[in-house]
Amino acid sequence: MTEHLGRAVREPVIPMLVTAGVFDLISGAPITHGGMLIAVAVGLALDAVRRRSAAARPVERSRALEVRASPRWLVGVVAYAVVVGSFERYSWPASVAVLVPAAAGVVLAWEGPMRERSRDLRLGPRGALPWAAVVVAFAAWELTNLFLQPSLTEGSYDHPTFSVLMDPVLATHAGRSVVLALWLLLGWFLLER
Amino acid sequence: MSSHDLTVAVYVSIGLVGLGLELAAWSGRTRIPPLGDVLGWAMRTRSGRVGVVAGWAWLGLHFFVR
Repeated sequence: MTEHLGRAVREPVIPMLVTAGVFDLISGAPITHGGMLIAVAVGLALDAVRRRSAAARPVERSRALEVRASPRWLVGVVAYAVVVGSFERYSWPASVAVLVPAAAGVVLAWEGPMRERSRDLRLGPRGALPWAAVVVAFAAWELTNLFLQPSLTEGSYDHPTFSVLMDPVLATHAGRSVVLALWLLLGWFLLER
Repeated sequence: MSSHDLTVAVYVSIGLVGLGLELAAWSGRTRIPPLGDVLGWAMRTRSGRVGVVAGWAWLGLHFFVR
């Protein structure tokens, strides 16, 4: 049992997801948000244990979802963003409309790369250091402002988190549509890696 | 400069540093890899791939989902 736990924890993404999920939960966000991160971490941990098991054999599976980027797909993204952006933020239609592509993205990522890499990425941890520093700096500043708020669940004008800064943008239809389109395009960019 | 302005300035600075890194990467004059390559490297394993995309999914949930 301890050995299995050790194997799971050695995947650094797992404790990172759990930590992010816990912080999200204690900051007052809906339980589904942080819960999703923790559920993914648990899934990855179980998968890590299963894959390292002597009995595990690779199984070829067809993909549950297929995505092919095309100009029509891009038009679809824009149309989706315009329509869903018209829904009120945190409403049930908006929630369902965002949950579906979010879940689809995670499923697609779980199934493997969308395509063969065209070149070998000879990149080690050192190469990623500058970018890691940017991510750590952003996370640290975000946490600093989170803890400088009157409480973990109450935003502050003097020490706004990124979410608080985004509130005025997401208060308008145009703002929500632009952010949704960018979010979808970012998802496609990530799945194409 | 108020606390609000300072907070925003730091966020903007971090964003500009990221933009600078990407421009430096594409200039070919440094050994800094483009962000896409770094993400590709991080996503070469299932846990990395799913972890990064889960972070993207969380972003959508955080801004739009109840």
